[in-house]
Amino acid sequence: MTLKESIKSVIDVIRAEVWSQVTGKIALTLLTLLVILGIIAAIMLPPNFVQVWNDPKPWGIKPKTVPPEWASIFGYACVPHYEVDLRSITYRYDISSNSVTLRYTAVYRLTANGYPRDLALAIDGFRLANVQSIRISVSLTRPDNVKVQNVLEYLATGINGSIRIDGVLTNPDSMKVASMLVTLYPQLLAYSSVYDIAREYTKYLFGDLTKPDNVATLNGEYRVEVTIDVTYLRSPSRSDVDKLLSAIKSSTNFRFAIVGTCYGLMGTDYRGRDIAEALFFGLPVALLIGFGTAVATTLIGLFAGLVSGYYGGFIDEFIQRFIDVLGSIPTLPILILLAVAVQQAYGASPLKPFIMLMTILGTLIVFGWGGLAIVVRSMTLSLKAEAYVEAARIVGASNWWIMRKHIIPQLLPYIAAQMVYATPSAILTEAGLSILGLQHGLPTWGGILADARIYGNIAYWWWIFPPGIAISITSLTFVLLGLALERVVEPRLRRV
Amino acid sequence: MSEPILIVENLKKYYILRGSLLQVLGLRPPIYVRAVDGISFTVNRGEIFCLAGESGCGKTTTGKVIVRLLEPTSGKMLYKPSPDARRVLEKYGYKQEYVDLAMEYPKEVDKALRREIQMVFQDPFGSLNPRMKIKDILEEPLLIHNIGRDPTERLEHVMKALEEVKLTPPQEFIDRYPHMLSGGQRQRVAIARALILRPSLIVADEPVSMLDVSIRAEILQLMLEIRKTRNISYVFITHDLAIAANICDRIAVMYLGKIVEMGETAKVVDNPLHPYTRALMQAVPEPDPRNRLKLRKLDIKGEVPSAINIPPGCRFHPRCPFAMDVCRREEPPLVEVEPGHYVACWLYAKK
Amino acid sequence: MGVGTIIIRRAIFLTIALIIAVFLTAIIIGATGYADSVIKAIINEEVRAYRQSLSRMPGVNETYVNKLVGEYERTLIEAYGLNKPWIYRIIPLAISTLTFRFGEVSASATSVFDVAGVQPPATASDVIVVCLPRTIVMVTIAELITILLAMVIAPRIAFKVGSLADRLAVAYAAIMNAIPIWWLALIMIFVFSYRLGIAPQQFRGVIRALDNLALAYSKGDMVGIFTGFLNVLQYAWLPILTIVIVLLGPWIYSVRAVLLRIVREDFVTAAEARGLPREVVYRRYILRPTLSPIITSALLALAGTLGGYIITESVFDWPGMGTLYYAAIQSGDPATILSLTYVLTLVYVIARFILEVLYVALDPRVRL
Repeated sequence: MTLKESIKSVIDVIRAEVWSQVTGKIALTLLTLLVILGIIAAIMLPPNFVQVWNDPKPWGIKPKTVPPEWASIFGYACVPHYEVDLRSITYRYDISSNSVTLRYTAVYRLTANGYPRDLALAIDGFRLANVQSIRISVSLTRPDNVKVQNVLEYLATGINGSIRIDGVLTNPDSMKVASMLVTLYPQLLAYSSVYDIAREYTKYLFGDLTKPDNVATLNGEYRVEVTIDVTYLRSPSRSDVDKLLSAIKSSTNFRFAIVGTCYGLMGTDYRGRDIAEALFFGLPVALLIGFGTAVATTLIGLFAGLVSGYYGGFIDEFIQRFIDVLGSIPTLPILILLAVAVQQAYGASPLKPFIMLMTILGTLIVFGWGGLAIVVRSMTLSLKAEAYVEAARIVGASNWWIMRKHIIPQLLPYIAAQMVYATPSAILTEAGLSILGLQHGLPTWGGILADARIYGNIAYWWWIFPPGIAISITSLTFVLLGLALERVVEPRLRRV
Repeated sequence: MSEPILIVENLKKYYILRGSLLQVLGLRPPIYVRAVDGISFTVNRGEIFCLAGESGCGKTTTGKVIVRLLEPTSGKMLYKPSPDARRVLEKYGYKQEYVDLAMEYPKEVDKALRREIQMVFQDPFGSLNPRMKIKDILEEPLLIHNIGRDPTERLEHVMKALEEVKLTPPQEFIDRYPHMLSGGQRQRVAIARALILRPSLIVADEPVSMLDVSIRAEILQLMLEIRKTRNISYVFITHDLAIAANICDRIAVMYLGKIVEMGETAKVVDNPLHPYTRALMQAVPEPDPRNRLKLRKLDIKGEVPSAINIPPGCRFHPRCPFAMDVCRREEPPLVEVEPGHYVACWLYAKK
Repeated sequence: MGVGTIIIRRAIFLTIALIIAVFLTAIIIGATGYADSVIKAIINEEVRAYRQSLSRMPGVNETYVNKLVGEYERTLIEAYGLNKPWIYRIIPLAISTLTFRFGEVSASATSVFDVAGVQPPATASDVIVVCLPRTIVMVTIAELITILLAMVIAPRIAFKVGSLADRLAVAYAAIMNAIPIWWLALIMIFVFSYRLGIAPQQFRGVIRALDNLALAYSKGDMVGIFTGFLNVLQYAWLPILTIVIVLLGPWIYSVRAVLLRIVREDFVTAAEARGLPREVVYRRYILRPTLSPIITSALLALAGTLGGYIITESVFDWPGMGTLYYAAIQSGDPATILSLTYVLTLVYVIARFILEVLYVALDPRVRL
């Protein structure tokens, strides 16, 4: 049987035996889906994703630990997150004697039974030379046409004429907003103090204030106006406007947000990171760990079992005793020990994710091949005694020929079953290590769960359910595939 | 015509049993299973030589040693190679007329010698890989020995081989799997596989014992025909003396790893001398209805002892109705009682 | 091969496996140098504190402080044994562990003392002895309940292959095979501890509960025993439920598989053909032969539970063997790590050995 034919026969078996079962259909469909998604995720994975994920800066503006947007279906008062990226929206500009003013306007539509959490302005990597100062202010025109000025203000003065803004995240001064609201709506004071209003300033900023004793959400269109005032030491010209615009364009972050109480498809974690992103990019990592371990343990197990069963004698005894010893050693503690050791030694190294992953994979592989080797050995022993193998030997076939043509093809279904079973156990073990806090740094499902346990105190459902479900569905795919293959491998179960 | 192609001299095959820890450590001598315990015979070119005996007598082991599936413990198997094999042998400096199959040879010589001696197995169900098509099964030897330049040429060889064993038309068989064939057809495929390398000697290990009685004759007929057309020699292993009597030129009867009687078939069958051979002959069904009511005397008792505990002296003596004192003490030699008829029994050795 | 030979050979190999397990652990601890780096960090911390306290004293000159600090650092390094290479510290420790002389828990391993709930100084055997009962009341009991349930449920469905109950059981087994226990643990804590509030949020309290129970038992106070038991149960029920839910699936599946294999054996068919009553066939021809493989895996599983489930116990913050193991690894305490590895491997190896002896002694087919 040539390689091409063996592959063809494997495909035939899959079509005839696996696909014909309900479990097989479900498993193969899920597997195809997972692999396609995994490949897409691997292609889309930004090269610096690990670094960005572990870096708190860009996540700051997003709401922290909020549920997904679809939580509103279950009656959760959900206000979606709203963001304006000033680098990509339209503007108007004015040039006065010593300043340039940029005005950005955007429309925020509020249709919810709740209030946004906060307002925020995030600026990062902004550089502008030859200026005196920059003032950024946000005003809000409510659906009742009352304009609240300067809800948010940010001021920066230049040092030696140049301005650098890095990692800035500002929120409104709530006392100022409260006093402004009180000026605009004096009737508020009859029911609450300025301090009360300041404590829940978004409630009043986005609330229907006609009935100040019973404030409800004021739904409708809010006009957001962001004004950037740049003061110069001399009279600015048109070219200064261009310089300012290009400074904004080339900054790494320049956005204003009305921070919601829910976010995206899967909500966010304690640092405001999008859990959906981690779930998506965790898939190829999980599959890699699963497949990598499965393929390696299978190949080693196959080789060791073949050698052990085919040649027998001292080498057989040695391999069998080696498997015995491996089987008696508690794997998980050793794995944890090694992972902790690697974490200690390479904690700061940029290579840590790679080394850690390799250590975990390596340990799982070293301890994982014994079972298959025993099965392959006993099957090889019985196959070796088959008359057709003797016939091949009489014809002059070499050992390698006999293994390739007569023994390995018969082992294929068992090898496939072993691979299928090894895959989820590797995925589960790796995730379990993450839960203990032994993380390699790549965004994995286990890693999300670990954060949910340590930082989220197991209190947020959107943080603990989806990653576990993702792990379980991936594992289930392989378990079902194994169940289907089991009937191919073990004909006695076929009637079941 | 009657030049020897294979001369077996004092061939032994022992298995070592190391059961207890003391034996593993070498503190106690290991136990030997003497499966073949010093046998000698000669097979001539174009001859059918039978090895007959009950199961466990070592006849199959002998066959497997001859095709070099097993290594002999000691003894010689001198084989006269065909001109083709001789060319390869001479390249490596083996100039003698006979080569000893018990020795080890360089890879290429080994391959050339393996081509010369083929085997047909007892079980046509087990000897064909169930996952390979007939075409692939027959092509395998050609691939191993680099016969045929391309798939088409090899396919021609395969077709010819199938025709030779009367599986016609061959196109109908090449794409089938073994389980799609009947037992007789499968055994024909097995014979075709043995023939495709054009061997000089075929060891046939009970080739018909697992087939339906109705097709046994066809397969035996086929084997006889092949001998005629190809001038092939057979070592025919069987427990069935009736078959042996019908197709063999010479016969050797084995008991517990030893040859107890050997000679031309006619002489051994018509005039069995050893008590064991006589008992075996009596077990053969009588084809002639007139003789059916004749009282048959089956006077051996007990079972074949295990090859681990071979009785001292003549190994047949515990079951022998004529056992004498000397039988318990000394092993009888194989002596020629009439021209071309040898017996190992004290009843005849004294004469 | 003789029975004695087989047993002696197995004993020798299992002993070798045991020794290798301990030494492998020792070498990982030593050669990777991680335990050392944990201790070094502690020394550095203490030295810094010492220097600070010195500099707060008035009128101390700089060189004198440096001299004192240097001396203090040297004594610390000597006290923690860092002045000798790891081979001289870890290997003797491994050897003494193998002879049941477990080492002192390093004073720096605070989380080990924390988990065990004992005050330093203590030896590794002290902390193991206090943690073992906690693992038994949770993990071992959960496993035991699972096995018993599986043995009750599986025969009821195995003989109705393809029925709805059977299909449901197989589906349940498949799903539970795919769900990690520690994830279900998170979910259970979320639901029962946080949302419903009927389970504790902190499980460390089981230390006190077990101590009270032991005290009541030693006094023979029946009421105390009863309330103590309830108190332990208050902590243990959620972890036990979690483990049972997950493990029951695979257990039912494997008991069912063993039963199905036996049902198809010829001797069962023969018994049915002889017209024996269903009950007799079931009891004598099916249940009896299934018991031996089930007991084999049950014993091995129970032996395995004594080591605790490291991850699951950690999720519950259950102060058992698993959490202890993890605490020991994290605080780099060689004595506890080696002792735990040794004890766990020993229990497993002994269980395997007993099974193999039973197997050889009871099954006539194994003997030649």
